[in-house]
Amino acid sequence: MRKMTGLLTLKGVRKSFDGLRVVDGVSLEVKSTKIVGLIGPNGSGKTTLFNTISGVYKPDIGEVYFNKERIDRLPPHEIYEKGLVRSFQIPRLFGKMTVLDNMMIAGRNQIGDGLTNVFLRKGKWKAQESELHEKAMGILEFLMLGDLSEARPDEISGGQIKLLEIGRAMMSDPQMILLDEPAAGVNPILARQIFDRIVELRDGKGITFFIIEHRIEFLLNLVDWVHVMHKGRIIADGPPHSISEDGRVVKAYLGA
Amino acid sequence: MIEINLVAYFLDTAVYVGIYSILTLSLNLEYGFTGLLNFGKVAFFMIGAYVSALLTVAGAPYAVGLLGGMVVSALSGLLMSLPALRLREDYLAIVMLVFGETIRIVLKNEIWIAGGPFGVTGIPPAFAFLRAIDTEEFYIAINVVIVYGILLVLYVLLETLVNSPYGRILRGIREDEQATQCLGKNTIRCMAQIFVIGSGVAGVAGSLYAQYVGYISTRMFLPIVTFTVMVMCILGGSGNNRGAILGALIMVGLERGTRIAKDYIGVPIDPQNLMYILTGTLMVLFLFYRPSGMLKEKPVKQDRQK
Repeated sequence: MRKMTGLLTLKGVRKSFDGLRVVDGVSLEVKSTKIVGLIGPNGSGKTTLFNTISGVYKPDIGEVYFNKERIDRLPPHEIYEKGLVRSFQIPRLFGKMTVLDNMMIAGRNQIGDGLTNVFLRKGKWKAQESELHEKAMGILEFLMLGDLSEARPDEISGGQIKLLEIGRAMMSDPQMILLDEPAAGVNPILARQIFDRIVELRDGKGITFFIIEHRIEFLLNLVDWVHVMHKGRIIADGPPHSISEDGRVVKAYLGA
Repeated sequence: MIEINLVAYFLDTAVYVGIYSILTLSLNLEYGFTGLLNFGKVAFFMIGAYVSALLTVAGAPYAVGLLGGMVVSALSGLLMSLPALRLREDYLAIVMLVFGETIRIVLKNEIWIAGGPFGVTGIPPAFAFLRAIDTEEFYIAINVVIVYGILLVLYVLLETLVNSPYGRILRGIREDEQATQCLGKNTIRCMAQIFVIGSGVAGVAGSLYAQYVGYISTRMFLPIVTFTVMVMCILGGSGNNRGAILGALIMVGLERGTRIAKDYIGVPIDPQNLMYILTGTLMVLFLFYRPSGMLKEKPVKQDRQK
């Protein structure tokens, strides 16, 4: 057995729906404090792979390790508590809650999340709330959303929603963030800003990123390593320059 | 000529508003904040009423009846949450509706449990000394104090709950349960807890109702009670506890108002029907023009520091 050196390690992960193998034996490693890309044509199983890592689906067979700890049987909320956070391809913000509440709900280990603590340890969670509030405002400023804290996600632009989704992932001080198409449907200028923020977060806070992105031109300039997925399998991986010249990758994308 | 005791009438209205407010607060917690469509609300109101009535008729003090009604109702809520939480919202609604009707029909047909269609009679009032008092106003006034005392306590507790990090999770579940789970929250446990609390609160309302009226039967717990409470919740403003109370006030007012109105204005229809027509019209108007209800939901309270 290979020694695990990565922060996230997948071993032979398979996930089928009604006999269709959407993820078909994926093994890969994501090293700590790197930005790693996952590319592949539509329907190649990227989002399903993310769902399997984050606990939304359980793999049929195979293992997922995070920090050398097996996580593939844990429910999503326990995986989150371990510091592995994901965003959704179509942002899933809470439309009727304020931007600030959308941020604050994502704080990890909140005392006031427990029913009895709400009544019995009110002082404790009140204090935690003001810390959380300050932190949320800090992140919102960093993402240029500071003025919108009292708005609702229904009232802000698509690009701002994407930023908010990243901000929400940052609230828990995660070790690793899985981003599912952070720049989809966002204008190029904002997309570049989003990616600049991602680099700052890796360098400043040591957060590891695993990113699905269709806009390869952005992604390849950003990442340290790329995995290419096709029909449920990883068909190539390597540093970005080698991938862009890889014949198998071109073939998978162009269908030639 | 029948003499009408106006003071007693208004106090009686106040008691009903109070009891319905408690019931609406409980639905608001489940539906308004957490998005759980509980179409079986009346079942827990009924369980609270019956348990409390049977206990106090058997000689238990009222506090025991109240507590018993609340606990049995809360436990039924826990029991129902087991199948219910595996279902999508519309199926959840159907299962809860069926649950309420099942309990009611069993109670109606199994005479040995609680008198069947004859109901439970001679339920003692909350305070034994009240039996010695023969002025109607005073009897009802004491009930106003009891009901509103309990309403106030429940209101304060529920407000604390929904304005806490826990309350934020509830709203998250309503908006997107899976996303909430992916943000590290144990949503299944939260929803089960909400069913327990919501059912317990409905049980309290049932217990208050039983001791006030002094007689209960299965006819009082038809599904229409659930829908009335749902209308109160939506009109007043779902996701707003003051709205829930306002909704109860409006609906009870409407029900009584239409009955009084028939003596003064010539309505060519049955006043009961007039009430239903007005309720339906109001509902449609609100859903079109103000779906958030009279009082809008507020964000989780923060001590906003500058």
